[in-house]
Amino acid sequence: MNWWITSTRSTVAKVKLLSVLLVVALFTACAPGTMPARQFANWCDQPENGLVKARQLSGLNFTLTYQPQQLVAWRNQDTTRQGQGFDGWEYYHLKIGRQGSNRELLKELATTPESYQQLVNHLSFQFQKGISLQAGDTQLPCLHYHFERTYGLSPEVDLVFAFKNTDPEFEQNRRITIEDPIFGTGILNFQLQGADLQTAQAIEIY
Amino acid sequence: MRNRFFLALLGATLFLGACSDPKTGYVDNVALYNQFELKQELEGRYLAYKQQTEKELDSIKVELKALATTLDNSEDKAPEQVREFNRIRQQFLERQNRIQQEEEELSNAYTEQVWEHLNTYLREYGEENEFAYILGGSGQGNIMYSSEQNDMTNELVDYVNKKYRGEG
Repeated sequence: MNWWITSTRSTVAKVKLLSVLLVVALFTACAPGTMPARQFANWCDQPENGLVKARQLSGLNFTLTYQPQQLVAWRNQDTTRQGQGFDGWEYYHLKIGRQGSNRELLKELATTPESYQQLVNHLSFQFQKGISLQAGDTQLPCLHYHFERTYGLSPEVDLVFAFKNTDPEFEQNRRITIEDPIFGTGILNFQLQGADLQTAQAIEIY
Repeated sequence: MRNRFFLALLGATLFLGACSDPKTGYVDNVALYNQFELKQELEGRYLAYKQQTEKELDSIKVELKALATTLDNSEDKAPEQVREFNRIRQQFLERQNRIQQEEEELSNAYTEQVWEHLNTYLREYGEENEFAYILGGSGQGNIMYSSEQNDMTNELVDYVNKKYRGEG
């Protein structure tokens, strides 16, 4: 009888221990505190983590991805500083491509070499003016902007841009507005949840 | 016995599925278009542009009127004054034509953009909610009758605006 009671107690204790472990595992799975940089880069690209927003319009795919500071730092080979050099900035990456096409997008849109050059010039120097960020009531212009030239090696258009971060704790949701005069879509809005940006910011990479 | 029951159930499901009507709904095109936030935003910009160009034309018109009055009042019309008047009148007419053309182009481009967004969002809505048809009615006889329960206008206005804001 005593043996049975002891055995039952031991089973109950094991179940309790397993439950605690399960809860701990769940918490760590929900909020990954640290992870390798490469894994973090993949994590940021998973749409379920809320940092990627995609839109399809006029036969084009527009994919906007929030780039956490630590990821930008790592991509710039600066892992030790954990993004300190990028403090106060919010980086985004916008990819524009045509559905089911491997041809360079700008070459598809251009009718002559001159119009191709005009598109390149527009993306290099003018497109930035049509990009803004809204956090709550604050509207911010795009201050850093880079159009990645691929010289026909990639079918997509890649843009990286940044805004001054006036809400470093990400208490507000973000709305990125792109006013596009060349792809024929007009105004495009992307909304990112502040909570998702907070989660990404809290992850340390190594 | 059990197998027969499941076969009968499967048959009934397939039969009912085949017999059921395709999901359809209708939307008031005009209301949807007018309540779409992108349309309102672009309309604001168009009106602002129009106001600005009207001001520009008005200032040339004022100059032209002043010259016309001077010419009317003077008994011997100096050829330079007449030439200046004709030059400004020509400039006014050219600018007026160009502005009309620009306004038309802008209006067409904005309308195209609005419909591009609307058509994309309506297609996404139809696919997400498995609609076979979403009909567009504008009170001009293209839909003669539909019960109000098929009217999806309010729902679609909410949907397209959320999509436009990037929330959906």
